[in-house]
Amino acid sequence: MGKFINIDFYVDGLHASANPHVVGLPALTGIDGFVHTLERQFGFCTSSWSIAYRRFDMDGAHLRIANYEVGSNNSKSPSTPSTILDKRTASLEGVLIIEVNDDDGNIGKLVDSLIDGIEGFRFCGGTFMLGNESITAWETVTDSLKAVGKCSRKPHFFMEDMTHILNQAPEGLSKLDWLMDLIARPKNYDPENPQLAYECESLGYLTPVVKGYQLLETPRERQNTRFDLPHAYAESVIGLARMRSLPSVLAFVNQYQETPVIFWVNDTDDSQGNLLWDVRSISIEL
Amino acid sequence: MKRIAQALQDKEAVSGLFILKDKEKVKSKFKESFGLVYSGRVTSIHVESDDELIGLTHYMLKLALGMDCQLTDALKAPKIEPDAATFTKFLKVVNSFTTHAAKTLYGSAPSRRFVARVQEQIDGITSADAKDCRPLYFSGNAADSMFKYFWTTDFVWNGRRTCMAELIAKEDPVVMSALSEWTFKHGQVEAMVEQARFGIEKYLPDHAYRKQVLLPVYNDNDDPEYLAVTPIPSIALADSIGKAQQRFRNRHVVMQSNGKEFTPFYIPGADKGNSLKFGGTKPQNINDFASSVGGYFPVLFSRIPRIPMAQGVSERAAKGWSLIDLSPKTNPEAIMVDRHVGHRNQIDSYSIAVNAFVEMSFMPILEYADVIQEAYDKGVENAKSEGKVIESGEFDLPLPKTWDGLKGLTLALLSEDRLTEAQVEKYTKAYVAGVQEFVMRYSKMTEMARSIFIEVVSQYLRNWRNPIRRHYG
Repeated sequence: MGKFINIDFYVDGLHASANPHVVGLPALTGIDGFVHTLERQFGFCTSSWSIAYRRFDMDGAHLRIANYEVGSNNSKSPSTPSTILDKRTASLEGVLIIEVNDDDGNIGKLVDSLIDGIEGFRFCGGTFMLGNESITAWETVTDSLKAVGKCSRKPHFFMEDMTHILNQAPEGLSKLDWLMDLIARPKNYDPENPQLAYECESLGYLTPVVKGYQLLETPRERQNTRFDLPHAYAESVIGLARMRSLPSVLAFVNQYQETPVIFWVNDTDDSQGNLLWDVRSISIEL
Repeated sequence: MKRIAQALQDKEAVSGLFILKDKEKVKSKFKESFGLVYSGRVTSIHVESDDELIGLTHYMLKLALGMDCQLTDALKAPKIEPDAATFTKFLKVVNSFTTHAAKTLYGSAPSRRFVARVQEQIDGITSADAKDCRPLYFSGNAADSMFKYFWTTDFVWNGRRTCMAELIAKEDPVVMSALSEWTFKHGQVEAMVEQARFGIEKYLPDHAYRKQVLLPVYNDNDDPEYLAVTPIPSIALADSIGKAQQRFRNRHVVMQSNGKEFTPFYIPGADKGNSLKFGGTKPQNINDFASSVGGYFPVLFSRIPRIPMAQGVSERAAKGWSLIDLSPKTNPEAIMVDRHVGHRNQIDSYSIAVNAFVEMSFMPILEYADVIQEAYDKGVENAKSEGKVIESGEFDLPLPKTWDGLKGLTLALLSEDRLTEAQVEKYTKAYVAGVQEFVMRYSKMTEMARSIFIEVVSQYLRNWRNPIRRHYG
């Protein structure tokens, strides 16, 4: 088991529609890409990562503060046009926990170099900046999670993999219909649909998330590719995640002596014919 | 062009069918040029079996007449050998460019179609789950790629391989004469030349890369090897999401007692359905995909849970800052945290909000304390003169004496000076006392007094927030 690095961060200008079918939180593929970039740039090796969201805001349309000037209607005095974003971008705050293989015992140096150099990296299209808690290293995942709880600004929501329940659709419901039921939040207990309300309450807050790519063809040489690499067209795979709050995570850890499936790692699978590259969840034993 | 006109009037061979939209300009122009008779809204023009002519005619219709036309493959679509660099290859792209076929979910965009076999046994939602419409149907970044292919598809012209962008940019005499013959507005040809040059600059080889992401695939030694992947959207899946959204509403809609339809679910971020219609009147501001499907496309919405509001806080108060929502306990803490723990250049959003709140709400009240008091008195007098009853002494602004603490804190925050512990404590106590007193007095006000107060304060807030009015009256 490696050591855990907590990176308290915020991101501005995040790309809010990383996938054409899911808008909102960044794709897990994007976060995994960011972690992989860190691996390459800072020369370390990760086993898994987890992310805890503290704040997520979509930049709304018709921002009237940034570049807006009163009197812009006056044609004689041209002014800066107002910004219209239409929810293309978002801002995000949270903690990224990376499990690092620390065979050499150089984690202190790694943390120092990360603090010096991590700011300004691209995170899912946005600019990655360090938060107040900066970067800290921990021996165990329990310490790491407790450290998240001690961050000055709460709350935090971890992403727990619940994609498997998409395959448990009731009879008569397609996978998409079942997804619609799952991500709807019951406002009140509905006596006409008691089961649905009960299910949703017990499953917690579910949200769709982009978790991988399925290749649509065998990779091959193509013209006009940016790198001299095999190229393939692909489509995104949409999964389901539960937003598990920090107290819930800690309670789970205490009860089962392992983490809920909030840690992620990328993997490939070509057993079905086409290559599936996705970010899969793993559980870490204490 | 004479050849085209002749061919258009010839009705011997038929290989393509053009359906033209009903436009007065087109009608008159075609009547002048070819003497064709129009009947009804749709007219078909039969042309000779020459791909070059079909395409060139189509191209000219688009460019010269500025109209949309749609090629139906009712008869026979021209077959193009993949290796043959012919003029028809370009023209086929022109066809798909001009049809705007990707704007409808079921449209046909033959050049841009990408058909693949997707695996169904997979964890998660893919286009394999889009079973209620035509599956395995993808269209790429239609608006962008169509424009790109429009200019860059190569073909043979006078025995040399070239593309239309190059021909127009280099002002090839044949093309230019054809254009000048077919264009009617002054400057249109020049605009086309400019566009062609821009197209060359933007899309020709150095910039013609497909958008890609690199996926690390680990080998046996745990060294990453990379795959270049271009994700493409599935129009079928987008359509299926929209239909599932509608089915969801149909399944769960409840008729209220007053006859209105009501969906008994709390939908994060959306009023209707558990997914959004993403887009708007300016879809080009969203992305090219929104443009290509005509503005709106249904998406799933992904976000973190909202933190539940405290009970008793009104909806209006939850949307913005409100005076009565002040918690005397938390706000000074936030200010102190920002002062002593946070980095000066990394103020978090909460501190910014608190600062902004203090700056925007309280400073003007302090600044205009006398004026507000005066205006309030006047408002009360007016209300009394209109016969409205306001008890005397129900509202007395606790300004500015008890708010010295807040003023000190605010000024210290805005300046670069660092406060001592004793100063912070003193100011905080005064601030809390001031706020508590204010909240107490506010809670005792009648509704009439509150409305007058809010009106007066908001008027001065408006003035205060406008720097021009603030400084120049």
